[in-house]
Order: sequence, then structure tokens, then C-alpha cells
Amino acid sequence: MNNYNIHNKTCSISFPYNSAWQFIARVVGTRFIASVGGAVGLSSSSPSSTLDSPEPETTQETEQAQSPLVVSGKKRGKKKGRLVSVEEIMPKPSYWPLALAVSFVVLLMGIMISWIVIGVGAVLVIASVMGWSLERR
Amino acid sequence: MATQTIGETTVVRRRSFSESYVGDWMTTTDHKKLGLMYIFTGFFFFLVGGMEALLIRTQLAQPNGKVLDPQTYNQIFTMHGVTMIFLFVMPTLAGFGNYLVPLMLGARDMAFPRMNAFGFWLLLFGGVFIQSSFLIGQAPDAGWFNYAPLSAAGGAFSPAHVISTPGMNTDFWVLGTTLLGISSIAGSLNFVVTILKLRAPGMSVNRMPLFSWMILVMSFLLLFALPSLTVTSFLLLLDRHVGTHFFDYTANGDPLLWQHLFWSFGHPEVYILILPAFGIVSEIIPVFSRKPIFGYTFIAWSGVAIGFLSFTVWAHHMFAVGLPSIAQAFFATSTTLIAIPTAVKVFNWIATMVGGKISFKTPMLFAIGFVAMFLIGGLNGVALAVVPFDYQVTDSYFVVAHIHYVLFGGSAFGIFAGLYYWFPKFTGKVLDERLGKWHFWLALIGMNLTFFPMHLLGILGMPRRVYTFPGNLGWNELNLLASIGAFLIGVSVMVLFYNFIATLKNGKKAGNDPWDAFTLEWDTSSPPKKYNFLEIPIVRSRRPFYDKKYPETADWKQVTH
Repeated sequence: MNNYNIHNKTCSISFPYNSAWQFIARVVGTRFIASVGGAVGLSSSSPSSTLDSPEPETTQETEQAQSPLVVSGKKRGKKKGRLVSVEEIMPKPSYWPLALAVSFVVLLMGIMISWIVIGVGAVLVIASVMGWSLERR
Repeated sequence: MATQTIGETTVVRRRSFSESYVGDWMTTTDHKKLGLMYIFTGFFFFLVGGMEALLIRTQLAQPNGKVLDPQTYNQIFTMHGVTMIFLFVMPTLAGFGNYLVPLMLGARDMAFPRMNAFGFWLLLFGGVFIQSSFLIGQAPDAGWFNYAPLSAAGGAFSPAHVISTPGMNTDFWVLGTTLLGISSIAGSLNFVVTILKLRAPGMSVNRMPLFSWMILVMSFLLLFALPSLTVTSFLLLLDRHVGTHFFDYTANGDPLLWQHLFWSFGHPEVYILILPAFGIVSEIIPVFSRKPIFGYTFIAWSGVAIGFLSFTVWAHHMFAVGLPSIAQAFFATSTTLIAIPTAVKVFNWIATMVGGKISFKTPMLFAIGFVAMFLIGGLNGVALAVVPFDYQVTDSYFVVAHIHYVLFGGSAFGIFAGLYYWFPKFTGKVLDERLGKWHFWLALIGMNLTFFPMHLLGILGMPRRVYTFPGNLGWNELNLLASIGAFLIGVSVMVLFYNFIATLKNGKKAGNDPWDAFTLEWDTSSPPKKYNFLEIPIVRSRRPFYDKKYPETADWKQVTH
């Protein structure tokens, strides 16, 4: 528990954030991720082997490789305050915003071109909204 | 193949498209990448709009000019306005907001990251959609405010068969601005929720950076003003394609309805374009004066006052249409009134500089240039609020001068100031100072050479949007001067772009905090990591990063706010 005095008001922020905790979370977390990765067939090499692992090539990979653990906020019923990889709390990439924008353009262009294009645009908008809504975040 | 190393474990898997370089940018929901995309898109369209401006000034450089034909000229001046307002200033300021607001607030991203991406893509496609009208020779040609009946078409269903603007020109305007409007609404909703809900612990609204304050006010303005534009565009679309008569005077419609509805959006829009620039300047002046901002509360709340008042002034654009006297009196008063909160800001910026250790780096030069140029634009705006004077110069080049002092000397200078200030945060490199100063002085001299003579041209009776003019009206020299100034601005922009490229290639490293700044965006690496902050900072004053660097003189020890 860390206490902060902000203009005579004491704020308590619960951070289970010390080196022992960090260590346990790191070890348990990585083993867990590795075992899940192996179970779903993502891993093509021995999960514990790092001797011949290639160096990250891009900035993104480097960042991923160095993803620190941070304290999570409450997300989808999961407990607030647990330690998670930073990747877990950051928004995931998505095609749907781009798809929905294209669909809107097609829909509105249809007004200038023909009813058929309006129809195609409407279908694309509905498909994009559904894809957006159903996407796993 | 992509590898992910966590602790001692390496997971190898096939690289997905979203992890490739192009795919990463296409699918990103990271506010920083989207902010950069907004800014890049804004500057691309700045070049397009700038070229359109140079074509206009080439046509008007001498009497009886024949560089463009009249129809193309109409398209060029219309698209210059549309491009600069909707595709340069708005997206670029939104880009700054996207990149900086979460960092300033101590948040990890915007509240709705995917909606953020949606807003950007809609902006890009909306911009490409409007500009593509040039490819088929049917670009909008009824001015950026697209007045009915110029823009209206009775069409086949109309009893009068009035076709003022046949073809798709106006349709491109209507649909393009609708797309851009949806984009802006998505963006502003996101800003409002982010600012109200994602502030770091301890950051009350009273401690928020002024840039975030101004983005908040701008977002509310967008949310309340844009529906008016969308609705009126939709009515025009119905008039043109379905045969309704909202603006068709031959069937008891009212073309003035367009002006009322358009300017209910259009005047708040002016403040939408300038408020974030106020915010940028309010961040830069204290840092380069080595003082806290003077009158924080007044600057913040005068922004709110401007926001409210901006909805009460729209008909000052319409004094010449024959409004009743009481309406003229009301709108003249409200327009004069809005000068008060604006002047409050100007006095506070000046008071911040007084007694400070001012460092005249390029961002500060542009910020001071902003204050001076915006002051001129504001003062001749107050002159236009005087009804008899407005009668004399309405729709003349005086109004063109006024709007350019506000939007180029104001918004664009604010954007340049912000660009030089935050470029090290965006890229990790500082823009070259010598080239920056060249850019500033060329832009300042160029803009005064271009737009100051326009005041005189307006008083001498030169109407705005005129295709050409005879040589015996006494306008020749002033027009030539304005055209020379425009090309000088063009040169200044070339210097800026050269500076971009040279800095990105060989620029010196900036470090995380090159300006010894005060706010949270500098309390992270340059460029920041994807997650912005490893630990969400705790805020105790209006200058949290200053507090952290100088704990012995921290604001929270001395001031309570």
C-alpha cells in the first residue's frame, strides 16, 4: 500500500509492486504464456530454449521483447491491481476502423453514382460494424 | 517469423500482416501513431492548399490575368478554403491533440482507441474524396461556405427547374464535408471522454495543462456545432437529388436559411480552429519565459467563455442581407463581447513574458508571432463587428485579410510553434534552429506582405473571389505585392520541409527533455514507448514534471491549486 499526500488529502493506491512479487509474476507468467503458446501450436521450438533465439529485428519486436510488467486497471471482470504484461493492457491493432471508414465512403459515393453502390456501401457498413463489435479485444 | 521473448522464453510464430511495417500503420490504434498520421496528412494537404493559393495569387498578380479560366478559378479558390480549413488546420490540431493529450494527462492511450483510428481513416478518405473531384473536373466551386442558391439545384423534380450549380461539384462538397464531419465527431467524443475520465491521480481539471483545456473546449464546440453543418448539407442534398425546396426561393424555400444554418456551424468553427492554437501557445510561452503561466484560471475559463459566446455571433456574417435592426444590434454586441475573453488571454500571455528569462528559440518566436498576428486579426474582426463599417467592406478583400490574419497568423503560426516545440518528442530529434529562424522570418514577412495589402484592397472596393480586374482601379500594385508575399510564404514552407528532411536524416539527438519543460509529456522517452508511462504519475500541481525535476522549489510546496 503506498500513501500519497496530495494537498492535505491522503490517497491510498494499492500497488502489490515489489521485487519479490515482480519476480514471481514474471516466472509464473512467462511459463504460463509459453505453455499456452505451445498448446495452441504457436510455438515451433522448445519453449524454454533461448540460446539460439534470433535477435529482434524491428522496433516493435524489440519493444515486445522488453515488455515490462505493469499494474492493470479493471478490465472485463478481471481483478484490478494484478501485474500484467504491458502488451495486455494496450489496445490491440484492428482492421475494422479502416474497413468501416471505407464502407462509409462507398455508401456516400453511392448517392452520386447509383442505388446499387448505396446498397453495396450499406452492406459493407453493416459487415464492418458487426466485425468491429464481435472482434476479440 | 516474429519472436516474442518474455523472461527466459522465446515464442516463435508466423508474422501477421498487422505486424508488417505497412500493416502496423494501417491497423494501429496507438494514439501516438494516429497523431503522427493526422499531422502528416494535415501537412500533405497544407501543400495542396498552398499550391492552390499560389495559383490564385498568380492569377491575380496583374490585371486581366488569364492564368486560369474562370470556372477553374472558382474551383481553385473554393478548394483552397476547404482544404486549409477542413484538411490542414483541423487535422493537424487534432493530430497534436491525439499525440499529446494522453501524455499530458498521464494516460496510456485515448479512451476509445479504435474510434480514434476510425476518425483518422475517415478524414483521410474524406480528403482524398474531395480532392479527387479535380480529376473529373468537377471540384466544388461555390466557395467554402457553399451559399445557396449558388449551390442549390432545383433538378428535374423542381417546379421551377432552377439549376444553379449543375454537375457533381456541390455534391462533392456536401458528401466530403459530411465524411469529415463524422470524423471530427468521432475524434471530439474521444477527446471529451479521455480528458474527463483518464487523467492521472491528482490531476484535477484545475491542474490540467492548458492545451488539454483548449482541446476539451474545442471538442465540445465540435459536438454542438457540427450537427448544424451535417443537417444543412443533408437538406441541400435533398434539394438537389430528391426535389425538396428548403433553399429554393421559387417554391417558397429560403436561401437565407442556408446562411443561418451554415454560420451556426461556421463561426464556432473559427474558434475550433484557433482554440487549440491558444493552448499550444499557452504551453510554449511559460517554458521559454521560465515562469509559470500568468492567470492560468483566467486563460482556461476565458476559453470556455469564448466557446459559449461563439454560438451567439453567427449572424455577423450576414449583416448585409438585411437583418432587422434589433438582430444587428444583438450580433454586433455579442461579437464585440467575445473580444473580452480573447483579450484576457493575450494580456495573460504578455504578463507571463514580463519579467521572465525569455529564450528566443524557434517555438517561442512562432508563439510571439502568433500573439502579434492574431491581435491584428482580432482587432480588424472587432472592426467588422461595427455594422456600418461591415456594410462598406462586406465580401471584400478586407474580410479575406481578416480571416488570413486569424487563420494563418493565428492557427498556422500556432501549429508551426507546436511543431518546433514537440518535434523532439515525436522523433527524438530537434529541428535545426537556424533553418527554423529562416522559416519564421520568411513566413512573418511573407504573410504581412500578402495579407496586409488586402485590407487596403478591401477598403478600395476589391470584391473577394473576383476572377480578374481591370488595370485602372488602383489595385495593381497592392495585388502584385500580395502575390510576391504569397511566394515568399511558399519559400518559407520549402525551408520548413527541407528542415524536416534534413533533421530526420542527420538531426542531433534531442534527449527526453530538450526545453527543460514543465508538463508530463516530457517525463517519458522521446519518442515515448507504446505504453507512455511505466507507472502512472502522481500529480500535485500544474507543473508536475517541473516538480519532479526541482523538488526543492516544487510548485505544490508553495502554491495551492
